[in-house]
Amino acid sequence: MSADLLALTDVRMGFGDGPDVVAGVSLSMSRNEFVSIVGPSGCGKSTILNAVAGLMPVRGGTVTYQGEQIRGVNTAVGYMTQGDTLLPWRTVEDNVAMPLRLRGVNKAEARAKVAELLTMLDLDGAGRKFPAQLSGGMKRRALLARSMIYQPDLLLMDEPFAALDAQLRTQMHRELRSTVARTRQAVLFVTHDIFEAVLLSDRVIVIGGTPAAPTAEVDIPFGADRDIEGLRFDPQFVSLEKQVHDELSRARTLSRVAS
Amino acid sequence: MSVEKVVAPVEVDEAQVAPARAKKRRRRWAMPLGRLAIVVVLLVLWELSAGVVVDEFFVSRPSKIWEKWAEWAADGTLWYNASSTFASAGVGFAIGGALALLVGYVLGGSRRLGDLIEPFITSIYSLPKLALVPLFVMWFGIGRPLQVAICALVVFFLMFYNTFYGIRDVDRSLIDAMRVMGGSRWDIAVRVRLPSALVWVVAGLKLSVPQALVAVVVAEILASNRGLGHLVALNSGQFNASGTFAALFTLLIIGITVDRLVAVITRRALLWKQDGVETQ
Repeated sequence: MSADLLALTDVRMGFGDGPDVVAGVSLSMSRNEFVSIVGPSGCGKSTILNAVAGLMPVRGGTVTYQGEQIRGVNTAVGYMTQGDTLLPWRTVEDNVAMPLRLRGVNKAEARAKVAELLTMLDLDGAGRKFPAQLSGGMKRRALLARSMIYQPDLLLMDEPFAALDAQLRTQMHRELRSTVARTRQAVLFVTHDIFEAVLLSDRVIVIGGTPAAPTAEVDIPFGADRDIEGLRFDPQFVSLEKQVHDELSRARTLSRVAS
Repeated sequence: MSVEKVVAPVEVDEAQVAPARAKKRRRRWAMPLGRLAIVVVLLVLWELSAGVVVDEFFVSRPSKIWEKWAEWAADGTLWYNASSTFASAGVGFAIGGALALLVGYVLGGSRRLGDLIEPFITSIYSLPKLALVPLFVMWFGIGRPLQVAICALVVFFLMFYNTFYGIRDVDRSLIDAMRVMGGSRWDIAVRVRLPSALVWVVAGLKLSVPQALVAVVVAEILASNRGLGHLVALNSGQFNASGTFAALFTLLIIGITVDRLVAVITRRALLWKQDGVETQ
């Protein structure tokens, strides 16, 4: 596997003076690849994303993004979390424009880009609204818009759709997959939902153990223009789902034995 | 067939719209009218009972209070005193508020500094503010500086905690999101910390603005020769019930007006908080 986009080598992390949460984490990603990390809840999946975003220092090992080792916050990636991190006192338009404004892009140029992205994500007419006036699905789309507006080559997503109902989630899956196919952005996606992982990814990495580390990797060969609606009935999809499920069960026993 | 089923209830609705709207309009006026009626009844009872049930010397009567009030309005007494009260309250509010924002921002922004200094502020806060009046009289005399100082003191404590905790308890995830987006320390200070503190400050205006007036009036009652508080003290000192009540009613009206005004400002400033629930 080529690692021209992202490479983690033997990464070790933990909180404060506590024990290691993850250790011996090595993984790599190439451009335009969609990779999911699945693992038992609380096992350290988000911690790995925080290492890539540079929000949390590593205790050992290296994180290399586009050939450069990450020290400090990595502003070259987009980051979307499960929580609502839109600024509530700003309109949707202002929120989505924020990354551009912070990078010194002028107002007019930023506004044009925002308008384009809002249309692409079916948020026309929501630009002047405040986050509190949006439904859950619209908020998610606004967050997605904000994390991709400066066209980072890599989007980090931490259970971004966990709070949505099943129908909305399917809609967001479809939109996410088709949007990144168009923008040619890579995605590193954290979830505990096997179905979601197999549905969206080109590759699923299972992590487990204490401290956590990758225990298995499953390639998902459906390509970028997969049929999000119909895929779930595909026998190959079901068997891949089972394969990830078995790997996850194994990872879970590992976690239990170690703790 | 199913189309007809859908259409039928719509027609029924149309027929019901007009009376329903009229009913709504009536309900909207019912409350204020009811309140007005209560006020009128109370005033009439007061007018009738004064001199019969209770001694007019102590309670005066609405007609006489009104006469006094009109007299003051005409000869400028009212404006002379009210403007003084407003001026003191305005300056005191500005000084106290600005200090609270500044100190709250600095202490809220640094956890270590906040932990070090905050207990001192809390201990002064727990002191009854009015107990400081004699000290302030010693320092500032009995004129406007005294009123401004007391007002600033009261406002400072009301606004400091809102600012302090507003800055300190900013949602960590908002800050992290901002950092990954490329926000500097300054960006986070101005675009995240300050607005999230201002939310609390604005929400606190409902308390801090009326209290600024209260502080000034108290200072005027205790020691001063001008202002609405002074007017109350002066008239009650002379056993002039009409004058005392006229001054009190002026304060009442100002209080209600200020409260309404603050409510409007708060609503405008926190417009973004109102969720118009949108269904997909």
